[in-house]
Amino acid sequence: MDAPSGALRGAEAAFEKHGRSLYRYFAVRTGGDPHLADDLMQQLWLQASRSDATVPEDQMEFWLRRIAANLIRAHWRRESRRPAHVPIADPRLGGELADRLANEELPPEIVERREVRDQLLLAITELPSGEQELIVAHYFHGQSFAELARKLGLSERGVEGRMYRARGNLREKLKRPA
Amino acid sequence: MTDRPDSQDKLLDRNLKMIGERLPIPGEPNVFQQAKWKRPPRSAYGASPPGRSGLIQKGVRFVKTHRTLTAAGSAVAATIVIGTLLLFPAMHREVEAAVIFGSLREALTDGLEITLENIGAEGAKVNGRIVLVQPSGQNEESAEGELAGGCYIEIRAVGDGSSGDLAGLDVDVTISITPEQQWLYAKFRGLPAEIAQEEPILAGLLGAMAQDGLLLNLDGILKQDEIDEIVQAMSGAMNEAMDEIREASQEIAVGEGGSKGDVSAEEAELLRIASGLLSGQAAGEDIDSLVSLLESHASGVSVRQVQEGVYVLSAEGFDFSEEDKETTEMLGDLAMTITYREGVGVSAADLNHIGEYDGSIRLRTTGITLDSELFSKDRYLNDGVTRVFDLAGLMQMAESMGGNITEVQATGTD
Repeated sequence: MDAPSGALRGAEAAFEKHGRSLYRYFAVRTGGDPHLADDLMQQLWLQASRSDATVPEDQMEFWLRRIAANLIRAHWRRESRRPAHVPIADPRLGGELADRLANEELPPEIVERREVRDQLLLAITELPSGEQELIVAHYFHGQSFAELARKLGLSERGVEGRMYRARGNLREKLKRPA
Repeated sequence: MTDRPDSQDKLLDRNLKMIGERLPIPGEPNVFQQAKWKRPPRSAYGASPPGRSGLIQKGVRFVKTHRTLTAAGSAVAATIVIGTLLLFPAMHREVEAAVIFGSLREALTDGLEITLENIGAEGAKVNGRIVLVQPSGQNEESAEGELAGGCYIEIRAVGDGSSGDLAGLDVDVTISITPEQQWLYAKFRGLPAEIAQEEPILAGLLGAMAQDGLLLNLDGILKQDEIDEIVQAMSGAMNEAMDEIREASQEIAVGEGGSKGDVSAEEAELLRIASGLLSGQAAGEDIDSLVSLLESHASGVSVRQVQEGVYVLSAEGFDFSEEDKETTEMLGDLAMTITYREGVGVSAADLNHIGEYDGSIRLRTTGITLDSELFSKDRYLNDGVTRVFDLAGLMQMAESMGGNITEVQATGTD
């Protein structure tokens, strides 16, 4: 690897810390193709590990996500067409969904609509990894606040607070997708 | 972001709970995927990933250079080589075969069981089973004491069609070697036509003696200390080779590269990975290297986690277009799955769609029932038709007659 060892270690630590959420980011934007998602993760690592950029640790995740966004855009530009099942952000629909999530009890059937699933997945995987892991662990994997508190070394109140912010941020991502 | 009323947040929370129960989210990447991410992507190399090795060629060459083995033996050798090649691909010398099996023995909890179904090799169709038992001292709780270090091979070989070297062959062969007893059972229902024509006396003798079953007691041929020596020699060969491999691997790790003695850097690395796979200590990078090796030969390779700590690696769509016709015919439709358990190692490997009979090879390293009756010759002694010969006694008799049969024959022909 060409990067100075300190920068490389920083990139490596960030890659490992945020790898799962970045993988989800690619998996959704490739229409659920795990091999393509893996390939993009490899490309991401290649770029990150070879970069000469000096990135402060607190901005590493943002930096990696920017590279990831460029990679997925470049991929679909190279392909002659984007398959129909690959989600595309729709700010109008996302905005409607964000409002409805906070103002009415949604019928379960709404999740069966592909366009709704797409906007939700795009928004969830747009979240920073800390919030994303919280949302996924609690709502998708059923982990309780107590379990999350133990895992993260926080109080339950601390987890509640982070979850509150994560939910709010999710609505923002729906309204204003990247 | 402004604070939202409690009621809104509560609704948001309830809606997300509902969504979480219904929305499929991308699966968690397993440890092998995560290790793979730090490898150069395939897209960086275009159509052909670098480093495609000639390991398949080496394995096939190994089989081809051992044509002097008997029909059943060569079929067994071919299938063992094929069956273990994709797990331990650096087999191009006999000592490495011993190393591989020595490594197997050290890493096995119970033993190794290989089942062959409809494997075509050397002009015969082979069905059978091979059981290797963990040597004593490795895991005395799981291996019967008297079976420790033992080996059992049971083969049915049927000659292929009406032409070819082995046409007409129909034989059952069972060999059992344990510290307590060693024997060989053979039943020839048919001999190859070529042998019958060229060696009619031998054919007649075999037919007469073995058509109802022939049991050769090998007790006394190999003395206990010789058996111990063989087991120790395998372990010793394994230890020596593993030392070589460890040194070569250290050279690789510090970037010195090159080869150490007769073990190349690539082979050393692969044997290190194989050892890790067998012992359950393989790191994600090791599995990833195995996946990479498979991906250089197959189009459909995947790894999935089936339960906590248990992974199944599947591969199909192998491309042997650069190999010879024989390899393509035997392995062109190959599909394989390997089950790996963290802390245990490779617990199962299945190779399917092999050869012209669509055969399969199954390897198991755990959950094997070690039945002492399997290794016992009693079932042949009690059937009333098997002829029993004590080979040690026969050899002593021959010696007491003043020479061996070869000398008598030589005298007779002069």
